[in-house]
Amino acid sequence: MPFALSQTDKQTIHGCLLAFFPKLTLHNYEVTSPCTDAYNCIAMAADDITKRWWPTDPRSFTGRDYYWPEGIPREPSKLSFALAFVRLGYEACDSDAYEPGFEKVALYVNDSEIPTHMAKQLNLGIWCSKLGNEWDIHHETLQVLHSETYGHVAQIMKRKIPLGCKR
Amino acid sequence: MSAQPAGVAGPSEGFLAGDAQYLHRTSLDEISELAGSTEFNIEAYRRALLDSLSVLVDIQRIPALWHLGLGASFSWRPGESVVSIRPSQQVEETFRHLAERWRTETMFQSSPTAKFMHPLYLQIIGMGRDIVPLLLREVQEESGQWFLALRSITREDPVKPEEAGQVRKMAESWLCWAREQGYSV
Repeated sequence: MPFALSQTDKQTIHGCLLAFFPKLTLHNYEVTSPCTDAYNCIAMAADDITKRWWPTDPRSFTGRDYYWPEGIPREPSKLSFALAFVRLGYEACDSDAYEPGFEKVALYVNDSEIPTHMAKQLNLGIWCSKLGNEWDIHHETLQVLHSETYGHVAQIMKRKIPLGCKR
Repeated sequence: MSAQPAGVAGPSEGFLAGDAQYLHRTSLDEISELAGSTEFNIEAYRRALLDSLSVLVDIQRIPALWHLGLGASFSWRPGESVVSIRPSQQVEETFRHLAERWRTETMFQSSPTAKFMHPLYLQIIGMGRDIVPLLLREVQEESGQWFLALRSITREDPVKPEEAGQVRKMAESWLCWAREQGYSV
C-alpha cells in the first residue's frame, strides 16, 4: 500500500528535515516510508531491510548491534564500504547519471572522510535514502543531502541490474 | 499482620505493593511493634516473623528487585516470579527529557559513533540501573536504540552473535533476559 502523508505531516517533517538538510525543498524530495530502525541507509543501499549494517568491531562499544559482511575490514573507511559493495557486484564509476540497465549507490563522507551515509539510485535516476532511524525519502539529486550532517558524496559505484530483477 | 505502612499489604492479602523504602522496613517495623507490645503474643510474633522472612526470601529470588532505585515503586504478587517496577517520577521525567533531546539531535545519523558516543546518550547511561525498566519498555515498544545502554548498565549481553544487526531478534533476546530477571515485560 503506498505510503501517504497529510499536508500537515509533510510540513512538520519538512521543518524537521530542513534543520539538518538545508538544500531540501518541498519539491526536490518525497517521504516514501514510515519511520523504522529495523534497517539503516547502508543496509537499504545493499537491498537488505532486515538488519542494520555498519563496520563495527565486535569487541567494541557497539559490538554486535550491527551486521557487516564477513571478511570485509570492520573499520568506518571509504575502502571498507567500497569493498563491501564490490562483494555485492558493484564497481567504481565516475558519474551519478542514470544508465539504463545499471543500478548505482553513492557514499557520503564528512570533512574527515569518514563515511556517514549511502543512497541508492532507483529506476529513471531518482535516488533513495534511508535517513537514520527515520523515513526513507526519494530525492532528485545527491546534492540535496550535502550538509553538515552527511558531508558530501565521495564515491559512486554501479552494477548491472541482475536479469529478471525489476527496478 | 499488624498495621501496615501506607500502600503496603501483607502477603496473605495476595498483593504486595510498596516502594523501595518500605521493602525492608516493613518486616522490621512489624516485628518491633509486636515485640514492644504490652500484650506480647509469641505466636503472632513467630507468624509475623516467618511471613516477613518468606516474603523477603521470595523477593530475594527476583534479581529485578535487587537494584531498586530510591523512590521507585513496585508491585508484586507473592509466588510470582515477575515484578512490575516503576522508577520515580523524577527519574522517568529526566530520562524522557534526555532521550527526546538525544533522538532529535541524532535522528538522521547512521554512524554508531555519532549516535552512541553523543553526550546525551552517555548521560542516559550514567543514570544507571534506575532506568532499566524504562529502557526495557522502549525495547518492548520496538525501539532498537537502547541495546548499548542496557549492556553498559547491566553488564549483560544476551544477544547472540548471529543476531547482529537484526533489531527485532536482538529486542527479543533482551526481553527474554528481562523476564528471566523478573521484570514484567
